[in-house]
Amino acid sequence: MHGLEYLFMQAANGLVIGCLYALMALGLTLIFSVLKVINFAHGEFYMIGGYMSYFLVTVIGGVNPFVGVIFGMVVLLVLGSTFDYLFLRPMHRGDVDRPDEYAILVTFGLSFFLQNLVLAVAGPFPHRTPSFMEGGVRVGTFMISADRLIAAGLALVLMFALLMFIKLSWTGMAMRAVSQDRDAASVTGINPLRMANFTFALGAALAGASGALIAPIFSVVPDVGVLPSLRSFIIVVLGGMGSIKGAILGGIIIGLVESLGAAFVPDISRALAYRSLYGLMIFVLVLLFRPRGLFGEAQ
Amino acid sequence: MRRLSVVLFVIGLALVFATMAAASDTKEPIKIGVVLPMSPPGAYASGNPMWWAALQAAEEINAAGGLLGRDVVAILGDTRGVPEEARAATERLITKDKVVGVVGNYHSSCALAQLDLFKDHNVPYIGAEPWSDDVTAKGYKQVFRISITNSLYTDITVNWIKAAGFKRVAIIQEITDWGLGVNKQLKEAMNKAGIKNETAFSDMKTEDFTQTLARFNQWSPPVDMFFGSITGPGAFRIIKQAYDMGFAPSKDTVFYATNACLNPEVWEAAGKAAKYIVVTQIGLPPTAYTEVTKRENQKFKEKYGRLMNATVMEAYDSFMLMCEAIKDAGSTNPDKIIDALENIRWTGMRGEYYFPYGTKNPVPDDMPAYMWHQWPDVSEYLFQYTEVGQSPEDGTVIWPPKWSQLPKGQYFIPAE
Amino acid sequence: MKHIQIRKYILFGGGILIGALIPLVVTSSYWLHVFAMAYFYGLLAATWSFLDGYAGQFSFGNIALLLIAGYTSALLAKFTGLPFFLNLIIGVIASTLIGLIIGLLCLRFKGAYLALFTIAFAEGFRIIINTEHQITRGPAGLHADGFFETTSQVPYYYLIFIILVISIFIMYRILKSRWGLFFMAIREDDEVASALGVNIVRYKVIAFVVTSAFCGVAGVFYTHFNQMLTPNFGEIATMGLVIGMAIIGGVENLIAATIGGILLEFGLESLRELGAWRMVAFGAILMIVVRFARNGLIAPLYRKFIGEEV
Repeated sequence: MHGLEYLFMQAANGLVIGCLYALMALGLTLIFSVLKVINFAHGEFYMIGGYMSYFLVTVIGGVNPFVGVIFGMVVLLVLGSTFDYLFLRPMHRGDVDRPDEYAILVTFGLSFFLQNLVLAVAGPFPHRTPSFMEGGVRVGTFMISADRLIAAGLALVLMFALLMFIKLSWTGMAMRAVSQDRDAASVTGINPLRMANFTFALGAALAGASGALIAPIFSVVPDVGVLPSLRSFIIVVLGGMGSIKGAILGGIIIGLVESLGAAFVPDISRALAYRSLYGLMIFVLVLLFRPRGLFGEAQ
Repeated sequence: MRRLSVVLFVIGLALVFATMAAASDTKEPIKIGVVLPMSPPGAYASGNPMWWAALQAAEEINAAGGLLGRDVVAILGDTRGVPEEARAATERLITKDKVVGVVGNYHSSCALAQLDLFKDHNVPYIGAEPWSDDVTAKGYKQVFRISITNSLYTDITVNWIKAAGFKRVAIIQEITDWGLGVNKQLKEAMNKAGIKNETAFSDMKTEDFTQTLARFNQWSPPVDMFFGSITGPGAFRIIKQAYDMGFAPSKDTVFYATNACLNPEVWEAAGKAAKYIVVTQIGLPPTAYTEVTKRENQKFKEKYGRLMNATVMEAYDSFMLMCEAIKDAGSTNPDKIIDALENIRWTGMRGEYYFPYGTKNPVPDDMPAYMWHQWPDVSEYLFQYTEVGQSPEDGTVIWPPKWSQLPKGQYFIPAE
Repeated sequence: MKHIQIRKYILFGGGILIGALIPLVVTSSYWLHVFAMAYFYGLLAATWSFLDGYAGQFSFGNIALLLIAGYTSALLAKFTGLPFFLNLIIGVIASTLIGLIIGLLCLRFKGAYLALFTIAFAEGFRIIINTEHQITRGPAGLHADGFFETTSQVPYYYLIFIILVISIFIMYRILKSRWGLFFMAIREDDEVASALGVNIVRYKVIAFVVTSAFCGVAGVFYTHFNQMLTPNFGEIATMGLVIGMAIIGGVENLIAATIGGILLEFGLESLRELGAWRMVAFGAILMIVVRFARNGLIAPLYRKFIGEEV
């Protein structure tokens, strides 16, 4: 299998994984758009999603992996909401001098806390949830596993559902209102604190879904969220902070970049090891030359 | 808030001083330090069972009446696979816990970082699993080793590759200390033998190897042997990804895996993809097990639910060997222990231990420097899993010929 | 005023005196090693307090700058025959220069963007060091000679103690001067500061340069103290630890941050048996301090004793 077929399969692989990246990044960008907070614990929400799915499906057992994904999302909804209420509320209320920094610190502290909590409780050994489905789609000598396709498919479904929700539901409209102009929104009767809480929980749940969907493919360890966290930042900045379109497109772009980079960079001894660096380089370039990203507002 | 600060501050100070006070107490039991990677980024999957094995050894000794009339205690130093931490952990064991000897290590870089401490503080050390030649090649009086060395491992492995007729070898190599050392020597040996080889390095955190696997899958004629040299969480992932792609194990390409795949978790994570992988064990094949091997392995399985693999046995043996030396020496004096080790002959789980080259019999010029205080009878064998869910003991031994369960002239089992 | 001066002399003089006498009382080389590491982390916490607590620049790059100095020094030793001290100086210059470049690049970044950019820099640097293992030896570790021939911890203890005292003194004087006022103005609102005539470009860059220089000093110390460098020290978790130390001590108070670093490193080391639970507690304390005790835990004590904010 050579040439065009090879390129196509590598690209397809990148696209498929990119959907999962996009789902997680979407959560991050939503949180930013409504709360104006960059969530440094996003990777740990992803990690916990994976662990919760593993816990329900393998440890407790007798449950379908799809239910594991839902369970992961529910746990993160609760966790996200609780955290926002306990730690982010003073910031929303305006009681904090330097809210940007406050948000980074408190979410970073959460990330530290969660990562080590899971390490202390569950130990460092990797775990994997059972596959959604065995087998895969074979083209020539290349195969994309069924797990990946199903996970990507579900990610697309979730993203679609989310977009519909934001566009059509009352809560969705309220979220958009708060993200555009918080004070104006509160004048019209929307409770910005409640919107913030809801959005943070929702963003966390999206990260958790991504983690639970990927668990059968890549397995989970306590620090499995570190790389995806950084990747989400890259995607959100590339796409434009707060832009939903940007997060989805950015996720797919980064998925492709990582895949095609590892596949085509001529120096094979380094191509794979530098996988994360390709995205980081794009990140740095975007920050330096077009900080608002593809679809963000001009600063 | 101020009051809370004061309270926390005082508690903090108190903790510090209490610990310092507690640290300087009496030392009735005989303490032996065990340095291992117990948490990331070290190879904790190997380190943890090794620790259990050391504990098992300590328990047995105490149940049989102890050592020189005293209890023996294994004290853990977690190196995390990081040389600075390994050094700090060893420093702690020696100066704070006052251990009389140290055993262990999985990572060569950690062992190397500790050597000067053993020398300067005159503490005997038995290396359980660090492979770098330098560990013993440096010729320190205090340092002994019962594991294989990089050079020996490379020789045996490349001999197998040559016999099996592999001419095109592809490697994905994790960037870790042991990996880099082994990779360099393997490359040199394969280049010398005219075997085409290519290595793609990867970060420990890599989740997705498929792009690089697909690149190797493109080779025409195809890769004969693929070495998925990964020990972290990726160890099982890479098998599954390579298999799903139809790359390896396949009828064209043999998958050579690391000893991470000795763990039963390989089946949970990779399933039928791991069915024909080739794994190295540093030790005796089941057919050559001693009485000690069978007995201890059984005990371990009953307690921990899994059989010991070679590295775990090394941990048991190194701990026991240190205790035997103390018994022979009749004291915890380091020079006496070192002397006892140089003269020792003791049968453990992996054979009869002795160290032919030492202070009374220096390494001659025609022998490699690493033979200093090195157990010369370290054996290595390769086996292949032939059924899903198999334990390493049930796999088919394929090399060396003297132990191989394959018909003469066959050196591996091709996958279906 | 005089009141405060006297108290300061008591605190600093007393601290220096105690520090100088400790090795006479504590003979265990293990504990001296712990003290040395504690001073090292205290210095790092101070650099972070300097850059973020006073100048308002939230950077994740301190450890990377530290490693730049360390790797430069160790690699120079490996590949060239330059004298030891020259390697150290070049190492510090290297990290200062990189710090300067970062400072210049970051001028237009605000809040989270600065944090993100410096994370990218730190992580990118770590990946490169790891992957170019043919030169740097990656996780196998790059060897570096010690400062002293002996394995005794005593000279190292005094070395880092002196480095710490001098560094803190210099940073403290800078912060007490006009520059300090400019930093704080930039921290509060750099647009307003600019409107009031503060040259924000100049002072932001100065803040980065000073911080980087001290990170470099810490870096060459660390390298030749541990005599081995691996890239994993540059993981974001280490930076998080330093940030946590500065915050818990009191990020807007240089002395409090330093003391926070020293005490926390001591605490973490003493509680080693607890393993990962130490870090769980650390994370929890960090969150609680940020939420409920934003001035940190040591800073209020300092203020109470001295009677003034730094």
